[in-house]
Amino acid sequence: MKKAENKWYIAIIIAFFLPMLAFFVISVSDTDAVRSESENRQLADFPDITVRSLLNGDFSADFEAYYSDTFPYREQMLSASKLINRFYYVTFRSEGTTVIVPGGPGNTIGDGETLPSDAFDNGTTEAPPVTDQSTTPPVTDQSSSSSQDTTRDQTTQGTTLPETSETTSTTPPATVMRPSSWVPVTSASVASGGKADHDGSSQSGLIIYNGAVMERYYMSKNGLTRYGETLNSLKTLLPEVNVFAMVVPKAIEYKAPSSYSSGSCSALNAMNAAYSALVDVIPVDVWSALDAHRDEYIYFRTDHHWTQLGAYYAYRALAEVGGFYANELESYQSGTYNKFIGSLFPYVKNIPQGAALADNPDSLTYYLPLTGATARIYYDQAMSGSGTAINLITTNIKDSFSNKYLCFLQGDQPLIHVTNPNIESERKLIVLKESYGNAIVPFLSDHFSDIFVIDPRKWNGEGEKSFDLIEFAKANGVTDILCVSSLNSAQVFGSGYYMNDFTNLLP
Amino acid sequence: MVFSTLTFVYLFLPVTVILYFLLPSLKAKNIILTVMSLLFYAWGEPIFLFLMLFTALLNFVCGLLIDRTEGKKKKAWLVVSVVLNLGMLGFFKYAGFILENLSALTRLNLPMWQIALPIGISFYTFQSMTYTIDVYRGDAAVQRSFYKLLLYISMFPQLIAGPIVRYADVSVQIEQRKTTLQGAANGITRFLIGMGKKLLIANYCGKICTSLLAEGSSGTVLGGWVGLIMFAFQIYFDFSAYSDMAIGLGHIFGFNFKENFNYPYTATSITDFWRRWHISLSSFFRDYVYIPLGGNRRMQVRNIFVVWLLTGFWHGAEWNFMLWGVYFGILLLLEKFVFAKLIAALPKLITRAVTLFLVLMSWALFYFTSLEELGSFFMRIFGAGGGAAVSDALLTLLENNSLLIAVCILASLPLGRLVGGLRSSMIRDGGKLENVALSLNLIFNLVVFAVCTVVMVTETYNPFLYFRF
Repeated sequence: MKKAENKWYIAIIIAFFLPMLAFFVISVSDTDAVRSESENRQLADFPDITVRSLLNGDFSADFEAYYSDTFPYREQMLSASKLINRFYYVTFRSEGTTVIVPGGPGNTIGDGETLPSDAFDNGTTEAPPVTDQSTTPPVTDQSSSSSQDTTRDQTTQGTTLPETSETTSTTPPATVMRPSSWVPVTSASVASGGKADHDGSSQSGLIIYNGAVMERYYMSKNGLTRYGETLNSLKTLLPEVNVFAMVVPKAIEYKAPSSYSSGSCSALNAMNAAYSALVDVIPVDVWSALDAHRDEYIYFRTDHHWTQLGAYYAYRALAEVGGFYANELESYQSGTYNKFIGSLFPYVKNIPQGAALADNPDSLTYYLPLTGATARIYYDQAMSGSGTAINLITTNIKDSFSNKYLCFLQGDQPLIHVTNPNIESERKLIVLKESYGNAIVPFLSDHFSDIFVIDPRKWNGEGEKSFDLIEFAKANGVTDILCVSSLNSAQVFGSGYYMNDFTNLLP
Repeated sequence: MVFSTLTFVYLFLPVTVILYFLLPSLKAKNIILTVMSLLFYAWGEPIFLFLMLFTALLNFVCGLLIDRTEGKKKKAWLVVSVVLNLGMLGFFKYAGFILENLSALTRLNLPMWQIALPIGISFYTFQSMTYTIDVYRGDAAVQRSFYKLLLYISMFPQLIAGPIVRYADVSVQIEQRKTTLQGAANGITRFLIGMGKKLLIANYCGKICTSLLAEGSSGTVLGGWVGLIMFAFQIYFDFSAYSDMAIGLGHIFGFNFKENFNYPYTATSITDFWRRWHISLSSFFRDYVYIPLGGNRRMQVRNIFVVWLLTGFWHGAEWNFMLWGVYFGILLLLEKFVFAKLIAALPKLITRAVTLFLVLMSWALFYFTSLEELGSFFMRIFGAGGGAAVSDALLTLLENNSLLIAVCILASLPLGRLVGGLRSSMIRDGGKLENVALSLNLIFNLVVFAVCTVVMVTETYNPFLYFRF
């Protein structure tokens, strides 16, 4: 063999093993990193070695996570991957930066997250003074805002039951709509339904479009029908109670052209499918309510939730059928978190077109309740003890804590009892919800003397029946139940998904 | 353990290589390779390590007995080893399937069996069987040292997803081999080519195909086709990447494994395809099933049918894999007895296109384990599913992945062989050309290694497809 040739072979061998050894040595000797700021998460710790973890393979899985997380120059590699992803996410058509991202977070993104105590600006979880201020409602000019016919400023009166509201104006009494069979909403811009059906996770990747990242999803007609039937059985078990169905579309419905929906899932068709199955349950037409404001800031651009403005329009739609008068948006005292980079961003941050979203972060505007309701968390059905006080809206989350959406109800709590002694109402409401519901509850607190906010995912775990919804509703004299969830959550019944836990609340 | 992980590349491999080359004698090298191979297996399957050790011991003992006996007894020991090997494979791989179908058939409430499939069992069981059969046939000498047989069965480069290396092919190398500079350098390049195929091509194809094929019958028609084509790319680049890495690692330790792929998507017939796809499996069935059954001399139709039913079943205890095997069996019979003359007469371009189409259809059978999903997929791609022909989302997806798709097509063509041939002849010519060829080789390696490392750190990848089998 020739000498020159061998030199090259040696070079090739060295070029392979030298970096390998160098990284190996650095990696083994330097394991200090515990937190990645760019990914906003704790890095994995060195796993415990036990006979059990060695034998069932947990150790090797955990070790791989640890080794990857503590890999040298990890941060630099994360930024290098943006360069590499230029190859996989090519956009050369003139209309700009539409990117389809396969994979994505799946249906259970952000499930059951709560606001941790270290997220507060002053390090305290005590209810901040802002909510106290609202016990004395801001002075608003009632006469100027009571001219609308379906909504009226109700800053001091709170819930207006048909019997008590006949005092000041010619506004017709608000009554709970009589359930009748659902007349599907139609829209010229939405193609009529395909036969799309998909079980399991309904999430199918992400799309980056027009400066926002959004979830794409399938439609499960079986799931939606089953959603309707589940609510029907709830109504059958509690015939005296008004049951409201509220299925909330996701951002893609309004913020991207309909031709970008996956499969043939339009949220409109999906909502129609779910509501058509309802019997004696009152549907809330959220789709139209949001559609009328589709160009407003009703969804975050980097998070999978709606904004509280979006929730406000849904609240008005609920008022129309729910027998109370919604308050005007202007009547609320509002505040804004300026920098909010949401849950979907981490999935696209290494994609050049996605990384750009961080240059234009979301802001989160909240609207403080008007009549001074207070809230406490409970961890058992009997609501024993005095509970833990929480904010309906937390206004002092520190800048560095990323998930600002947790300002609503401090995230997903098992059971929150919202009480409002300042209003005249005989109606008591249960809100069955996932995180979409958190943003709407503060509005409702001005209309119901008692609201029980229940997150089904926090109950009946590990095969134990820890919550019986029917018993709970009867014991607490509940008159209304609102079932609010995103469309994604409403149509998937598999184990580990929201509707599965929802069903488990029923006998 | 998986090749394309940081733990393998930046921990297991350097430690193994250092220990291996520090040790002076071949015996010590063999022992350390065996120990590291067992560790490699135990990393992913701690409990089933014992099963693999038992398989090795069983075949070791049977090998000795076959060697020592003659005539009927010799044959009896062979039968014992084959039955036990297949019995273990059957128990772990097929018991659940058989019970499930039996209770459906008889309407009895038989107990359901949920056994995790020991990783690599289909591969190492077949390898073990080639040992006893080769010894019985006199194609290989009996191995009197247990750890050497264990090394053969457990050798980490090809342990989990092939190629299926025959004992006769490596028995000499276990006793006598040498790593040359050229061998190691070429092995490294081969390993990196495989790593690139896996991490930079197959995984991305996999993401696209999963999202498109999950859309159900009303997804777009074109989306169905694109999804299926991306699966064809994924399975080829994923599986051949594993073989590349196995062969490359083998070279580093002085072993020569046979090739497992030869540009299968350029095949001119299904017969040709199976000479180019998973060669070690099809030749195993040819030499250990088809020919012993009588080959093409006696009951050829039956033999072909049996082989392909088994090939399908080997891939998994699902009806769709059987269907997949039978599909190929029928196509091969048709090629042999009906269309042989036609295929020979037609231009290659046409036979290639037809072959590609038929192979693509087979991947649909392979992908959808549920027959219902398979049905609605075929409805979709032939326009009976009610979905639109194409959507903006799909066009955007194609735009986003246009470079990837171009690379997939180019890498499926025999360009690699062309480049490899050019490289060899440049090296042979020596002088400047040799320097150019090898410096390009070096740069290629560095770039691929760097990019793959970044991807390993940042992507949550999926493991190799053929780990299922």
